[in-house]
Amino acid sequence: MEMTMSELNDQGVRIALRGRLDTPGVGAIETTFAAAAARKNALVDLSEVSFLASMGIRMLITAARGLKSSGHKLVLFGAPALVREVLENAGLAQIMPIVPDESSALQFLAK
Amino acid sequence: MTSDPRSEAIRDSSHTVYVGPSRLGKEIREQVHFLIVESGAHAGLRVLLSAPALRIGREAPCEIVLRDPGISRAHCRIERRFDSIVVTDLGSTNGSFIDGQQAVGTTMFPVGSTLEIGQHVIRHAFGTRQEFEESLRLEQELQEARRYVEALLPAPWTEGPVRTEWLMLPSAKLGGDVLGYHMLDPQRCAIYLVDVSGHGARAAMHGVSIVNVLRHRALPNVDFSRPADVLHGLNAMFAMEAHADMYFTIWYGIYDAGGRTLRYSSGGHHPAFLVGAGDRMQRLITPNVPLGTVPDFAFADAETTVPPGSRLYLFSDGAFELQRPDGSESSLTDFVAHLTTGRIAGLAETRRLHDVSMEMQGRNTFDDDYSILVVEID
Repeated sequence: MEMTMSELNDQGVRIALRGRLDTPGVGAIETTFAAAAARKNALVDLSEVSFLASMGIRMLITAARGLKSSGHKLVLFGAPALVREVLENAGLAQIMPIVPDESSALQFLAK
Repeated sequence: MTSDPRSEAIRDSSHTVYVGPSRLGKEIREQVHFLIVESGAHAGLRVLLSAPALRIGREAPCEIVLRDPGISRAHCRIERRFDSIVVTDLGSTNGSFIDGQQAVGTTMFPVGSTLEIGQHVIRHAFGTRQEFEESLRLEQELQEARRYVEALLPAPWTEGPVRTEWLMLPSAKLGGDVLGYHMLDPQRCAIYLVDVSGHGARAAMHGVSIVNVLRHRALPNVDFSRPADVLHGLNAMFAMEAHADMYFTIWYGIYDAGGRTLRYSSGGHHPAFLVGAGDRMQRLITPNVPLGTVPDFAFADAETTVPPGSRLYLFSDGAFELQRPDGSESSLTDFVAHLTTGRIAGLAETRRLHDVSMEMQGRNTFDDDYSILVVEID
């Protein structure tokens, strides 16, 4: 599991995840991810995530709840079909925005 | 009932095997090699390696006998070579694997490594005799906890117009999945499956709390025949910030035999599937969040008609979130394809689907908790 971050000027941070978001994958990045997705908007690129298990969902929910409490947003984009299906079944669209691509995610932040 | 074969092993064995001359009473700081069976029907078994060699197989005269159809009569030999432990496969049908690599000839079995044979995963541990004794005590406590969780699960309904069978295999000694069903009145029954985030003792304790609330209908001002109200009540009672940041997913349904209706609500849970005559399949899901994550969420429920001769399938994500041998991922869709095809007369559906999952991932052991509940409705 890999994670890369880039700043989005004053809009927040872009976090790209790559690999399997299963128990070992989450274990490898959880602390870094939690630190990155805190106190500013976070756009999370899932386009290179091949697998999303319940521990990955938990990591996203925890971050989204933390950001919401400080008045910020966590936006997911680029999820491949299999990951998208898991997100939908898990009811995550009711907790955080899930959009197709980065430009839609940026538009969402501008709202 | 398709019960977990491990429960039999727990009830009928001491779960400790000493092979070789007894050394009890000797210096407890003595360093010892031992085996810990981490998964499979005999999970929890500990074996002290005090003899120079011992054999593992399905039958005596092997010194360690594991009841597992994937294990040959005499499967492999474990022996000490100076300070190391080695494994030799004895020409078994399904092979012996150390850390995922097939053991060819005599192979090193390093401390901390796992030996996979049949459905069993066995770890090589090394420590003081005192550590071994402590791990035994801890194991016994976990077995007690596990027996309590199992005691909360309902017996299968084998007769009448609504019949049930289930299979639960925790990935650790205790799992975060729970399921249940009970009659609300002579016409209506509640059916549910809960999957707590995470595994192990913490998730299991949370699962026990939730299932006890459902069994005893212990939510204030909630009509348990209304699934959306039940999820709303559970969501208020089990807010994740008040429960060590644990949340859970649930599928909860009420079958009414009078109107042949099934009213249901899912919270963060993938769909249940209702397969009727002609293998017509309905996907039963409502767009709700996982429970505990969003305070005051307005839960929705839905209703469908149950055609005669239907089967309702509920399962945890452990049944289909699997990595195939080639590294690709299987999906819900892949697993669900097997609900309408491949039934085998005389074989329990839960057992057949368990075999399907094993085949999908090319392995006999699962990384996640594995639960399936099948309800047949005449």
